[in-house]
Amino acid sequence: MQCHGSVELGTNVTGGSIALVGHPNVGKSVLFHQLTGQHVTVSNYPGTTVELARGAARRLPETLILDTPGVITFPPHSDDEQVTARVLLYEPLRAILQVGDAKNLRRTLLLCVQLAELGLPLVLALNMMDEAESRGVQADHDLLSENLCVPVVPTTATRGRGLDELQSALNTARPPQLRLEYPEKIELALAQFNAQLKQAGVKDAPIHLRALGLSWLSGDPVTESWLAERLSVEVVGELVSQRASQQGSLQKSLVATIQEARLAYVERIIKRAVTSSGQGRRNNRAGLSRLTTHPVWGVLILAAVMYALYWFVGIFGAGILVSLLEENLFGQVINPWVVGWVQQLIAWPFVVDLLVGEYGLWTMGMTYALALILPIVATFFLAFGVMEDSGYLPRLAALSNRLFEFLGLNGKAVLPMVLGLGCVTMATLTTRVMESRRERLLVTLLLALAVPCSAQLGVVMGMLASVSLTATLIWGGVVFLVLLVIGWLAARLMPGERTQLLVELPPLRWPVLSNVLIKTLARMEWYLKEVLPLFLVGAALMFALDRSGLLDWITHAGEPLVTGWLGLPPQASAAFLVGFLRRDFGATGLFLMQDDGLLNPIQVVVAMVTITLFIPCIASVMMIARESNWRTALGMVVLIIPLAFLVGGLLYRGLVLVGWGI
Amino acid sequence: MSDQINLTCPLCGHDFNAEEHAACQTCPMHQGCNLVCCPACGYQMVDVRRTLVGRLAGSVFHREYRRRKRNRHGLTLSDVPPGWRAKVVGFGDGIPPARRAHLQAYGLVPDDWVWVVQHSPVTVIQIDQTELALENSLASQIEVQHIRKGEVYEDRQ
Repeated sequence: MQCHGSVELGTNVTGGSIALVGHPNVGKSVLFHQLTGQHVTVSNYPGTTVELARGAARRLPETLILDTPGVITFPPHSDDEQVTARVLLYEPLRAILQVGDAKNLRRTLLLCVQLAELGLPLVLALNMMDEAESRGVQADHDLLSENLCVPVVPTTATRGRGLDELQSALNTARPPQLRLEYPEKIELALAQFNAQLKQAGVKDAPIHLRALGLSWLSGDPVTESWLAERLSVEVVGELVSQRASQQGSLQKSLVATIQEARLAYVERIIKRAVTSSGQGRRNNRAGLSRLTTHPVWGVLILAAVMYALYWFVGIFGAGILVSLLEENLFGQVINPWVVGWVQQLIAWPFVVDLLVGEYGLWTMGMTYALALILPIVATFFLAFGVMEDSGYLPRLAALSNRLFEFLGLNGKAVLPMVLGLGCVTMATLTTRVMESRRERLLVTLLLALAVPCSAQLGVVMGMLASVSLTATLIWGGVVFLVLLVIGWLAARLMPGERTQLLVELPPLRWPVLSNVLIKTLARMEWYLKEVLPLFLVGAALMFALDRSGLLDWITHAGEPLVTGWLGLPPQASAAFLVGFLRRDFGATGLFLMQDDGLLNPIQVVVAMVTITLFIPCIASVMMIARESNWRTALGMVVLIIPLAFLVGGLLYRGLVLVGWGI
Repeated sequence: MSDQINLTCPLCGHDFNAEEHAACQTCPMHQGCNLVCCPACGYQMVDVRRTLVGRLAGSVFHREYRRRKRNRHGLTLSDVPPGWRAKVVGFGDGIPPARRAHLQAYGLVPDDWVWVVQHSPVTVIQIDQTELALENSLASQIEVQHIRKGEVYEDRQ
């Protein structure tokens, strides 16, 4: 095992992209920002980078930097890891920049060995040097570089340390000549693989043929599909049967045998180059970190965090800010001014009505979006950003694992569920942190069914708070019960095994204010782009229905369901109709009905439960279709809408029966 | 299994294995004796595991006694009391290959020491500078030996 072995034919190092590769939560996205000047959402939670981000390098001419999702190891096991594996095999890369955690050298070096074997120019950035230094982790970087055959550059990306050295190392990066010797049977299998490929006419690959062989033997699905695209079915069949017979001759699995050889090599490097692996954590933050996962203190801290979230989003955002914006700014200043100007400038009453009438694009669509929804989502995203960057979310995953175990999931589901309280569409995208397709589907179903987004939550809370605390508790209890029952049933009906929880707990850190602000603004932009068109379409639809007289017809047609079954006034039909577009839009309609005194306490609770269990919005349905397929998305809609009405109707009868709210 | 748990002298803090303590083995009265002496300072103490009451009380209060009794085949990570460290031996067959690869990548490799932080609501362990939370059912499939009190870095010094 040395750096100066012969270079096999087939190494193809061309192209103008540099891929940032590394474990989750090691600072790839921060480094991407430093190298390109572009911002991607960064957080202290694994799984932030759900899609590839590309940006031009500021100081490397004509070079694109690719930020990839974190990998724990190769071969890839999750969707995220497969994205990274595809980049390495399919993208024409000029070089790989591995971002490694300087305080966790063992796993950093294990991944580095795997990347070095690919034969692409590689640079290792040992990031988070400040944390490594504070914990007394010391290593001889020259010796590391010598043993790994790659330049090793210590960096602290958050402070911009080591970036100049990194960029010059990237400019001069060469393919590493690391060649590990594997057990004899593996070497034999590699030789057979190479011979088979050459016989089939494959002489070149984006990565070293030896690395391709190792990935194939490890059962890497990305390598398998790459080979299937280039080889005939017969050749692939032969390779598969060869691999099966090679597996049969070994006591351990092929992948375990390969990985053990790499681990042994890494251990030898560690012994030589690491002078101190650090002391145990002894600071206050470590003590607090322990408390956050403590069975008693952890729950109390969680309750305090949830109360703070409720206060900031529910009382400050949905109460104080909304009232300032809606009643004072829009109600008294902006809207009268806009209405006045429109009436002066436009002579056609139809257009005036379309713009500033009861269902006007401005007075309904824009006012709902900007005055009612924006302050709520802004405060939520700000609070969520602080939670993400502090490293609290993985601890929440550990604390909530038992609850999700009941739902056939593991604690990692808490990230999309909590993010769903901000925006269900965005949360659907983060279901990728779940390891299996089954778990992603279960989380998506629960998100679509029972997790209200912050916009809707704000409206719901506002309405229920004006009734009584009991009303809020009934609403919360019913929604939670539906979540438990449907989640439990779905977990038992859906085939497949539950994945056991394994999550890294990153150190608790003080959130960087600028980072939190930037990503809150970025998320708000994303949200507004999604919400504004739909609100305008919703307002236009209401206007058209009102003008054409269809609104009265629908109100009348919906009576058996809305009035007969749910016990609501006929006008609520219109709210449910626009609820198809966005359920918070529907909830806002119900909010105005309550303001007009059209709803009694029972009706408020029934309406809120029904609209909460409704499908979130058109955008989230489209996102579900994108992440799975249209059949799944339509299946969920067909399941959720009747269920929402069923639960609403049953609740109405139950409440009337016990005489609550009369 | 008892020889895998070391004693710490309350007087001088020396960590030692009572079963391997040669002086006891050569003593003509060591059969049935409940006492043990620290090889460093000579302080004499009662080895609770050699007394009936100590074993009974231990089985009520200490997780390791309960777990060891239940799991006679070998120690697993879930048997290691919080605040103790253990050497990883291997993985049970019930761990899927993907999970095994992730555990290894995080540094959970045979012959290395891990420090157990807690077991409830999930098992939290520390390997080098990484803290991992893993489900108890997963921890109970990670085979360990040589459990000792204290953090891992103490071993490396």
